[in-house]
Amino acid sequence: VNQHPPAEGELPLTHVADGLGFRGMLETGVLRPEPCPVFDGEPLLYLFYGRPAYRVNSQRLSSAIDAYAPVCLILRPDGLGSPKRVFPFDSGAFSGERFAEAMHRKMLLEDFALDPDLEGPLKLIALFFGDRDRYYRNAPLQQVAIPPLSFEALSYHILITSRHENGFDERISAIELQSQDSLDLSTAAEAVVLPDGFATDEVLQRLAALHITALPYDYIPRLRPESYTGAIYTIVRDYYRRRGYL
Amino acid sequence: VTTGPKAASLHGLVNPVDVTPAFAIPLFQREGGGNDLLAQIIGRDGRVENFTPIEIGLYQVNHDVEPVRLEVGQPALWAFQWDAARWLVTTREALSDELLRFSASADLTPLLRLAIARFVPRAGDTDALVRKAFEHLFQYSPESAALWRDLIILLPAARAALRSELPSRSRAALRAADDVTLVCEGPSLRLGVSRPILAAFDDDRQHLLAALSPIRPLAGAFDIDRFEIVENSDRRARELASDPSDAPRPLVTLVPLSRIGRSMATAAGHHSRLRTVGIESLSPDIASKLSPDIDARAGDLFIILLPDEADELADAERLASSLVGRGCLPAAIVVRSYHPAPPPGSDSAASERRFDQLARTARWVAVIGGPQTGGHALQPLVDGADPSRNSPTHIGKWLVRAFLAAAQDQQAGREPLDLAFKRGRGPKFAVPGVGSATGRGAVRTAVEAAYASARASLLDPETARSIAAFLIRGHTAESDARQQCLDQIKSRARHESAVSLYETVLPTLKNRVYVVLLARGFSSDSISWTPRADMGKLRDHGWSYTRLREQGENLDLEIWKDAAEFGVMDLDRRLTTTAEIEEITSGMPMYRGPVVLMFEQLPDIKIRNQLLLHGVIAASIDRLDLLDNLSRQPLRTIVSRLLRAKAGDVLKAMAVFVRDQLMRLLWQEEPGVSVWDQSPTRDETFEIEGWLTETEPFEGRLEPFELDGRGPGRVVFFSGVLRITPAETKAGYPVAFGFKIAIDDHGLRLREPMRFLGAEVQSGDTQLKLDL
Repeated sequence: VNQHPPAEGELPLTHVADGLGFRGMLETGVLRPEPCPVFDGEPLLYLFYGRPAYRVNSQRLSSAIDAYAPVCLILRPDGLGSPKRVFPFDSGAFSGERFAEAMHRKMLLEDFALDPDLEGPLKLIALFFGDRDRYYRNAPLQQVAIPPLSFEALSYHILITSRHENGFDERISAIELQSQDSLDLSTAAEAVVLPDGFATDEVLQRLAALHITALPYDYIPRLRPESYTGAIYTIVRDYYRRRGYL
Repeated sequence: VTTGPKAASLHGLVNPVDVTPAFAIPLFQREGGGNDLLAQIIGRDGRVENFTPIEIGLYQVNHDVEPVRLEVGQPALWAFQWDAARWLVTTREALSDELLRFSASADLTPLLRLAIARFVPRAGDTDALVRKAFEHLFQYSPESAALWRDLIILLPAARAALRSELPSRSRAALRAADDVTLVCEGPSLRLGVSRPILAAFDDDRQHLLAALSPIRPLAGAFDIDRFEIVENSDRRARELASDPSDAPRPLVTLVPLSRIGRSMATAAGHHSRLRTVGIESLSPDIASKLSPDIDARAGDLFIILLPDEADELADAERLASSLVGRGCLPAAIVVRSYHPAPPPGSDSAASERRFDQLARTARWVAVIGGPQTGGHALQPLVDGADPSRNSPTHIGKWLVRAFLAAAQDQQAGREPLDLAFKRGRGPKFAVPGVGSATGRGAVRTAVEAAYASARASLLDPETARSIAAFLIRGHTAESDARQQCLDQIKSRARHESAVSLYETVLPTLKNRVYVVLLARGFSSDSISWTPRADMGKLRDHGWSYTRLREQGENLDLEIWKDAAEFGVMDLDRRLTTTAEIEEITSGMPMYRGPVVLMFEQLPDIKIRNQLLLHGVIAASIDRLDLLDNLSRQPLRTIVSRLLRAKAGDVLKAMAVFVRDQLMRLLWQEEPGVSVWDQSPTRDETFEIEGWLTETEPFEGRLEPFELDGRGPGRVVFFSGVLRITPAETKAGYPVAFGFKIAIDDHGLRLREPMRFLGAEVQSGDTQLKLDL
């Protein structure tokens, strides 16, 4: 992947939180790393490249509450200095062995790490998806020239192109970035997609002060949590198009 | 989500946005303990469809609730939090009344008023509320307000209007409808569309503008009254518009691994000759490099030829999973060599494990050879048949030739070859058989011999779930050979088995006929399996039986006698309550028809009648005479119950039976089922065919499901919509089939073709409209 030329253009970074987490961010104006059990308690801030994915928070197949009223922060592509680590998928899901069927059991998470910079995601996108639009749509290329002995790349390709009933969602190919730095929202964030119930006067005022565009979406309890994910993907995609990212 | 509990108790409430006032989520717990918190999954009818675990992290739970018991199928509960002390949890209707009262008096943000108005449709003019919400946002950020108006309010409305008015239902047009862009400036709304949309409206922009008229009142709320259409000519639009023009693809590609694989491939014919009929045989150097260099596209058929050796099995599995990842349909033919004793140093456990892995990945795995066939040359298997050799290489050669015949048959416009690869058509385990004969009655004799040849292997072909039969005949063979062959196989096959027949003529065979069978059934260990001792009584009553080992099924046996055949669940406990009956019947697969529940002791008549209402026949090993009586016309007894029971009970009880029967019709693509793909997913084409064959019956749901009437003439009429859960999850919009059916003494039949409604119903909170 590292030898592949990067895809053209760039995409914003995203961070999906629940209402409680978002309120904390607004109060301080800072997005902070938190101790991460997957990496021995190291304080890490998790972001995804382009897609409004949220992290798998445990090995259990339950929905977290942030799936019921998600808040998606859209960060400027240059909002993060340099990431600590970059993975081609949700490292939490890998550690939770959610991908076990597609991966050889001896493969280690570290074997999948990309170079820790913002070109890594674009190289991966160019190789496995062709362009940013296909990456956002989770439409991987079916035919990819992978050298025969690149087993991790091959496994990743199988994983992202697998269409049989595997219980994965788009997080299998959402590029994850980890940072050890705190991010100042007023310079790093450009928009937030949030439940309309959350868009109180106080919140709108604070977002305006931080120069963050507010995109409140229709929040009433829906029939099932997946409904929110689909709705937010569409809003974020339309936002990217409007801003010329896609 | 299909495996949650059937009932749960209300445990508390949580407000996920953590500000008030706001909608809240009712939390439940399993009855009888368990710490997991559960949330309702609510069906479109507003009833609880299931309970799913939910993790609430650091959120505070309000435990001040009555522990109401809620069952699947009951109206869902909804909750709202007014302030720190005041919460309400109740039905949607009662909450709507309360919200109406509340929103009239309270000081709410315009956004919350709008949310309440959407929840309670009778709350008033939502367009005016949209305007107020816009003005409210504008105070804080004009940019936020403009983006909210364009992207969150007007664009989804424009997409919905466009989709419902599209004159063309082509995939490209439907996908492009999802891809439109929208920008408002002053009083103007500019809709950017791509070429397929314009083409769908014959480049008539006035017509397109008229299609947008339903959103004019909403746009008017923002003082927008000028609509303009522009063509988006970006790369994505071209991609949407373009039709992929593929070079001709091989009908099937052989991938020979190791010497045995190569000898099978070359025995079938030289690769250049194979190519002329659409079979590509990969050269060993390409095959040995495995997946990266193999030209494979979605839908391509592959057959991997290999010996039963651990290394080759591992290679084949890697290759198969890579091909599956590319959307191809791989199958494998494994030659099991005959070893009087395991060869020194062999690790049979590793081989078996790899074999299982291969079987899981590939569409099917055919096994040739084994201890009973070995390298022996068998004497005539059937009187009149050619003294045919039954060695693995001989069978392998003819099996590959048979696929060649199938490829030619497909070119002649007959059975499509991928039928033999369909997942819904049978289990993974397959055995081949080859028979040949000459002269009069050759077809019949060759079929007999092919069955005998397959039987000598690891599976009794009479019990096969699906049979691909290949007829290869000379030009002077009986002219009705095809029909004869089909008739004879069908007369041997169980009635629900799928049979596909391929035929080819090779003049050099003159009046000789070869019949090759590929019978898909259950794995070889069913041969050594013995049921519990008293099941032998089934044989005394003339029933044959075999173990049922289909993936995902919780039935134990399959029994058959004459025309009757049933799946059997062996139950070692008594059923006494309705809840127990519901629990046990809800998990029974009924796509083959009524199921027999075998008790140690026959339950009383009330329980038996309740079970019948669910399509389940109660039996016991000591009263097989009762089963004999029912088995002649099992549906007659069931219909009698359906005619007498209360309508509500009928609907509740028949849901599984009807759902499974409809799923079977979809699987088998019966002529009455019109299935076609005309729906876009978020951006991608939704390949509905694959979803159907890869969908288990329990993944469908009936929503709605209605009893339309009963009798005269002992008929019960139902109608409704069958929705396919995994397809919907993937697609993000309804995947639904409207049905009208009748059940009588002879079975379930469609009163009119099932219709795919996917593109006609919109997701969201609008109720499904049935226009059948």
